[in-house]
Amino acid sequence: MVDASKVIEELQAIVGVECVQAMTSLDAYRVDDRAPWAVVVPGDIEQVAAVLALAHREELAVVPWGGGTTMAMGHLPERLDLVLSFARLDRVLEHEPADLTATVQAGITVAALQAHLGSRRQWWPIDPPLSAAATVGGVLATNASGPKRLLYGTARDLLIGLTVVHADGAISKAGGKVTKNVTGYDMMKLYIGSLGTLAVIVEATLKLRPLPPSQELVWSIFTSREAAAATAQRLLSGGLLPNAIELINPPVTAWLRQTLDGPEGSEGWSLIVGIDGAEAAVVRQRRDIDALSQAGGAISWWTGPDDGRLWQALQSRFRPDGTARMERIVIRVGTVRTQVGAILDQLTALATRVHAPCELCARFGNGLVYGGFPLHGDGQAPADLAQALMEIRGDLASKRGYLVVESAPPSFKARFDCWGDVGSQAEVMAGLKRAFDPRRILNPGRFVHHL
Amino acid sequence: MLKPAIIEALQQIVGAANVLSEPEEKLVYECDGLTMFKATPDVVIFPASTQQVAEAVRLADREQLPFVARGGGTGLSGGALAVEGGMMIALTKLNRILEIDLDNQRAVVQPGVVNLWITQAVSAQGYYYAPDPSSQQACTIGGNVAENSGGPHTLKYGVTTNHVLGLEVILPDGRVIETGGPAEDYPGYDLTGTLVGSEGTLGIVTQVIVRLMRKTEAVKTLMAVFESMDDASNAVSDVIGQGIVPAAIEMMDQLALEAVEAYIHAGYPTDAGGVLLIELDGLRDGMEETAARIVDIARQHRAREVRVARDDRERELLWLGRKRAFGAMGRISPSYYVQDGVIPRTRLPEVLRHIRDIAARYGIRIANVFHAGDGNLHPLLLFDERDPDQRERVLQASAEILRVCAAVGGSLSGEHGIGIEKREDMPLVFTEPDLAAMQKVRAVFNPRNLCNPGKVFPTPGRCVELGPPVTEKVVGGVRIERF
Repeated sequence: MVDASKVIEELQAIVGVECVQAMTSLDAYRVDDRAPWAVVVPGDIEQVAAVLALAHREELAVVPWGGGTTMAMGHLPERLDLVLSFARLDRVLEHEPADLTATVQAGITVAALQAHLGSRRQWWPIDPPLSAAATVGGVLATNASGPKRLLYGTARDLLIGLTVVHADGAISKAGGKVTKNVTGYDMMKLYIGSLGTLAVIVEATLKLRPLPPSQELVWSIFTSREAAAATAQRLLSGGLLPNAIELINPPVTAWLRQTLDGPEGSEGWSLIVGIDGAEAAVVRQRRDIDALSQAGGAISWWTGPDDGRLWQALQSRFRPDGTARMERIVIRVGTVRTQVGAILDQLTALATRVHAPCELCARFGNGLVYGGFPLHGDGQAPADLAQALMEIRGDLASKRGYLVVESAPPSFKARFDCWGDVGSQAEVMAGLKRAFDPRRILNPGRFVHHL
Repeated sequence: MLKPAIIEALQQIVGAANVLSEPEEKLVYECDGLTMFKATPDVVIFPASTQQVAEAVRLADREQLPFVARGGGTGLSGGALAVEGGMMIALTKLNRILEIDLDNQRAVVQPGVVNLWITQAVSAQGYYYAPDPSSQQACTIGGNVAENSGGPHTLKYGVTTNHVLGLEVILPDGRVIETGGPAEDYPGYDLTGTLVGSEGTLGIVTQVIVRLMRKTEAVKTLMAVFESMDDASNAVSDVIGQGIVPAAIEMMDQLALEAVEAYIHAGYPTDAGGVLLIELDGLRDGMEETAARIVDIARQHRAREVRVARDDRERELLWLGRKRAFGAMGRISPSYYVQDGVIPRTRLPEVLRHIRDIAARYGIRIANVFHAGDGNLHPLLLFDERDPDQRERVLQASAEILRVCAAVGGSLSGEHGIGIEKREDMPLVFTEPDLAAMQKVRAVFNPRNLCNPGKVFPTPGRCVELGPPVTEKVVGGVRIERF
């Protein structure tokens, strides 16, 4: 049995008395059905290392915590002792505009980073949900992304260096500060999206882009899913270079229109396209997209500047704040683009079958579909939902697609495998977890196969 | 020497005609593109299916036989060298494009497919495969995956890892796994990304799912001529700093221009201090304005001439000159040795000055042809291989260039890999814990270290031996010739 008061004293000695919260309600740091008994807020990498070395020695389960925006992701934690908060590690360490690179601490929020870079007309081209709270470390650990991944890619394309602290407190770095680098293994790929189960990300060197001079949205409404999807596919095979193509179903369309400006009047499926670049290129794309939409049967359309609000609003619908009361189950389906229409139809049919409304948003060009299923007033999932999702997952697996549950209440997670099977890779993944975190102190149980 | 039983077993697996074990048959396989290092495998096999590769690997695992995969043999860091002898698995018969899916912009190919074949297969429909190493007419996708190869157009579009979505891999014990797939963001650790660039030390790739890109509607190629490399370098930083991201920015210095012109007659000036080759791509609209801004920036940095390729023919000729530049060195020198250090691009002027100093100090000529936009240097150290003194000076100068790259926050290799060439230099950029983390990964995939041993990582307890020219060394019964 761990002597908690002794550990707390040791933690206080590492980070300072005021940077350890314990013996108080830590419900704000709840992960599913568990709360930690201490929250530690280190002020530098060495402190992170010392905290982990201590946790390793005492075999304490640690959850690294950035903005807490993705805490609903993954299986129920198997154990939870300490939360390792990145609230004090929130600085830009270096920004060299002419190199298009910046090095930051993991706890900086994406919004704060973009504001800093924006003053030099640059940005890190990732637009994750809840960017005011989401941190760079969290984005990397969960491989979060947004609509603009269509043009700019994801963390794996936009990260060039990383410093991590290992489970035993060792500090190592991967990559470097140059945009092209094949020196040694690409360890960054291993840590991206690993949900903090292999090591804790403490610093990152990012690949930047210039801010485009002009950014716009073109939002068209179609009466059918087929017409909207066909237009999206034509758009992708034409010569245009949209930065985002999102296809959303009627309930989300209606909700978005209550929240923001948009096309007048009609109900239906929305196709929202983002474009950016030099003024001339934006004008030309807007004209071409309007023409394509109208030829494709759009019944109304709207164009406006892209100030980021619409994408943030849309994404917030599918990324419930982990600390707020859970209102819906969110799933993500990955498939190829030509299967997106069929998946949207399958999920729509599923909603009818389980008598629940469903909200759908397809990141069309990337073959990703987000689905939201509201919970009943008592916090329970619709009956049969789990079974129906299992069927769709099985169907997808035969075509090398997948379905994951991104957030759900603990009662649902207790009987549903959030990630699904990773097939022939399972043994290697388990081997990596054993090699990097032999005592299973980093987010134990939450990742694929309960690693 | 291998037990005859092993040769027989391999003949059973791949057929007798696909097993080479006689010394004269194996000559080609004693080195890759880094010809100064040589080691002969005990046996070379040419499997024709995933199944055959897996069976051969299982046999090797059982017999404790080291093995290494080989594609086009164009690697520049000795990655495909059989340093411990054993079995070489030549993947040149696994050379089919299995599937092309334009609607989803995906292709599934075997590892022995030559890089350029993919683009050729989809070009008529307006698509291409983006990573374009200069050896793309000969190098294979399997080799590209192993080395995480780049090319001139990686400035905007990234390197191999950004275009590979899934793999079929034979693990070093013969198990077959599938990583990633045609979709994006699969759950679990990104084994695809971990395998790309692992230099064949984690397994053998037998199938690759690649992303196909749509050709942009407009391309514009400019050549800017400068009196000095400093001016050219500063122009590069300024173009990027002003928010322009061209598809490619390549640089050549005077010595390189001289060689290229003698070989290709691409129309490059031979008396200029440095030339930039800049390519813009994207939408037609706004491209003229961007090109005009680049011309302005070049002029601000005292460019004496900026020429825009008038048509595809001119454009292709300019690129041919660039892509054949290494080969062109033969016109001005009996041998050359190419370095691949990479630096933050803002440090170009000072690093290029260092390289000039180093050349003067060691009394050798160094030509520079490189990916300036990425800060990926390719100093070509010219020498005569037959002269041991020159060889030694070249090696020392090269090591010094690497140290300069590391000192300014750069790295050892931008696209050629570590292989055996730079393994002892790894401590210049990585600490013990950095390397230990990588080696944990290797131990998970490749616990017995039979799969491409002796690559990437420094030899424990041994420092780099640059000592007096050695012509032959025997390691594990295998001849390693070094200069």
